[in-house]
This record gives sequence, C-alpha cells and structure tokens, in this order.
Amino acid sequence: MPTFKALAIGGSAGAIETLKQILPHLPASRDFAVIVTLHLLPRGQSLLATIFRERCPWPTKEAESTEPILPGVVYFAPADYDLSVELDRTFSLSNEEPVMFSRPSIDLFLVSAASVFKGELIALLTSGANSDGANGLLEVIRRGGTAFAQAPETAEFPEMPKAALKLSKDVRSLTPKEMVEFLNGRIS
Amino acid sequence: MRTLMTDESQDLEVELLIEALFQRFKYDFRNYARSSVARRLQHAMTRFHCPTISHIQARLLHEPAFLSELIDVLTVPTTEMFRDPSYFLALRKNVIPFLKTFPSLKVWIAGTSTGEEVVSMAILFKEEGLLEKTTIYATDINQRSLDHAARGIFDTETIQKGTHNYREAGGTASMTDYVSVAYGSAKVDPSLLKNVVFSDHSLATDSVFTEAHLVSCRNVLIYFDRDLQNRATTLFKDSLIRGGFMGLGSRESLRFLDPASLFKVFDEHNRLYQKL
Repeated sequence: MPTFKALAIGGSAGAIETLKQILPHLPASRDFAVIVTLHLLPRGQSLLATIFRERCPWPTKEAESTEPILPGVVYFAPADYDLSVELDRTFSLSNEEPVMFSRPSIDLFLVSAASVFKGELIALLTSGANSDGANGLLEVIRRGGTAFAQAPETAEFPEMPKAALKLSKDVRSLTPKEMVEFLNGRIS
Repeated sequence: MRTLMTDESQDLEVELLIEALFQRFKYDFRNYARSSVARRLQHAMTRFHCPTISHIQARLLHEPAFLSELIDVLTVPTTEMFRDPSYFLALRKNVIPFLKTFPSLKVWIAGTSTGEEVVSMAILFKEEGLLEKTTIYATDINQRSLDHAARGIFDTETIQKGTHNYREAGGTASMTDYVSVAYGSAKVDPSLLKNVVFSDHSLATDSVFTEAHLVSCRNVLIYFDRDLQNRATTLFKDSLIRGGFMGLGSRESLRFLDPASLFKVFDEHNRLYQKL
C-alpha cells in the first residue's frame, strides 16, 4: 500500500494525453491527493478540472488560495498563477516572474511541495517541450520523496522527461501504464 | 543530514527576518503565505549578494537605506494595464451605471503596486465621465511602488501590451491617446492622476481611512493567510457604503471568508461583490 500523501504531476505540451491514461485509473482507496501543474496559455480558461470530471473516478477541481489539500481529490493549478503548498498543507497562489517563461512554474511548485510533503511526496514529470520541472524533481529527491519521469518513448513531447532523466539517475522512468500499476499498489 | 539542517536553519532565518521587520519597522509579513515570502527572500539573497538570509537581516538592522530596498523585493510587482480585461468590462457595463447615481465618488485601490491598476481605473472613469467627481485612494505598503505610480511614467512595452487589454475591456478611444511618448518612456496624461491620492497603507496593521463606493483589490489577498484575508476584506466591508462594490482578483474569492454573508455575489466570474 502506498505510504505517500501526495502525487504531483507536472507537464506541458502533450501532457493532457498522458493524464488521460492515468487519471481514469486512480485507486479506489483515495488515500492521497493528486496535484497537477501544467503549462497553459496565459489566458486559457482553466478547463482541466471540467475535462477530467467525467473521466476520473475522483472529484476534480481547480486549486484555490488557502484551500486544505485533501486525499482523494485531483487538484489543478490555475492558469497564469503559481501554485505553492504551505506548511499547514493548504494551497497558496502567487504571481511571480515567470520561470522559463511559464506560469505556473513546475519547478516552483515541486520545490514548495517537496519542502512540505518531504518523504510523503511522489512526483511525475510527463510530456513537454521544455525542461521545467527537472530541477524540481531533484529537490523532491533531496527532500526524501520519489521522482518519476514519463518514459520518453511514450511521451508526445519527450524533452521534459528526458531533461529530468539526464539530470539524475535517481529519477525513475515509468510508462503511464506502469504509473497506474504503481498507484494501485501492483508494482513497487 | 547536512542539507536537512540547512533547510531548518533557513526556515528559522525566514521567521526571524519577518519578526525583525515587524518589531523594528512595523512591517507586518507575519500573516503572509510563507512559501512566497521565502522565495522572495531567495531573490533578495541573489539581488543583494547575501550568502544567507541572516546577512539580509544584518543589513536590514544596520543600514537605514536598506529597508525600502528589501520591501521592494518582498512585494510582488506583477501587474499590467487593464489586467483581466473582462473585469474592467464588467465594471464599465454593470457597476458604472450604479456609480453614476452619486454626486461624488470615492474609489479605493488597495495594492496599487506600480500604478497600472490606477491608470486603468482612471481611464475607465474618464471615458464614463466620472473622473472629475471621483477621488481615487491608491494605497500600498511599498513606497517605491507608490512613487513610481505617482510619476505616471511607464515603459512603452507596458502601454503596447495594455492596448490589447484596453480594447477587450471596452475602451472607446485608443490607449495611446492617454500617453505621450518620449525617450522610450510613456508618460500618462497628468489629468488622469490629478484626483488620485497615493498613500502608504497596510492591510495588515492599518485601519479604515475613508468611506468608499468601490474598493478594488486584486491579486493581493492571495499572498495572505486566511486570518489576514479576513482582516483585509473586513476593512473593505467597513469602508464601503451600503450597496458599494468590491472587486477581487480572478482567483480570489470571498466565499470562505468572514464578511461573505455581508456581501452579495454580483458577478462570480469577475469576482465582483456588492455590500448588502
């Protein structure tokens, strides 16, 4: 059984396709939170929570300022804001200088989530055409969490997971199918 | 093990610096969302070439001129002209008609930052024929930002980006009609800022200073914890006349805050609330 409390998923171009292979198969136990940080167009409507409402067995919603992070819920970072985790395990939002021209920044989110969840955090970096998130995965590992990158051959845009795998041999490569197996406790 | 100790030391340094700012200078960041303050202090370490946050604290306590430099880094200046154009469009279409029924108006823009929100609001009020009878109170804790805002000088890029927003916000002229460009900078028409009172005001420590018909405070509450969000929105409630309007940022909500029951949700999408 998983002992982690949060699964952080980051991604950019092509990540929605990966999410479609994972989120519909979340385990019935609902004992961790899923927090998704994707690069979106700055003015893009935050439709992700709506898109996945029908496909996902868990409730989905956009993360809100001061909201407690609860197990069994899939949260999405709002477009054009940075998402952080506070020590009391609530969300906070901010507007900071875009990191690598992207807001939300995956690195920024992972650093903050790692500092709070430490060994109880699992992070997965999925498809994307830039290297945001790779440094964040290092921080997840440094804080005692577990870091995965989507197997590049299964990602529509492999640059993002490749950057993470290149950066550290402690980042494990998983296909979306293996991720589902892992989350359901069928592989460790 | 050493890295974990470093993490703990740094958390403590953040706490101590926040405490020093409050005890020595009455700048109260104690109820700010901690993750953002910690990140701003990381920026400050780079900007001021300080190897640790304790070095920042030493400069803060021993160099009189350093305070305003540090406040400048701690407050986040992300803003643009007519940011979230639909907010300004909603004000123009649905709030301005109510404001037009008053002989004189007071507007409070809390968290003025570098002044883009003030200029946007002043342009809107001018185009709706309300600017002459309106006093705009523009407040912030960052004196440098207030000075910048009061000068009314922006880089031309800010104006260019604003042009698109301005049109989406229902602008009836052209953004460039309100600025004169020289040497790569754009100065806004001084008549726009004539009735604006810029002042230092803290939502964490100060109280209500005026009665207002409209309070606009956008992307400020997100940096606060819930207690401070409650304090700030209670100030807005106390400041507003009955029927007055409050506008928040696109990801800010009154829903879970103390004064929620004292407001009507006027426009959910644009985060406009009307005091009952």
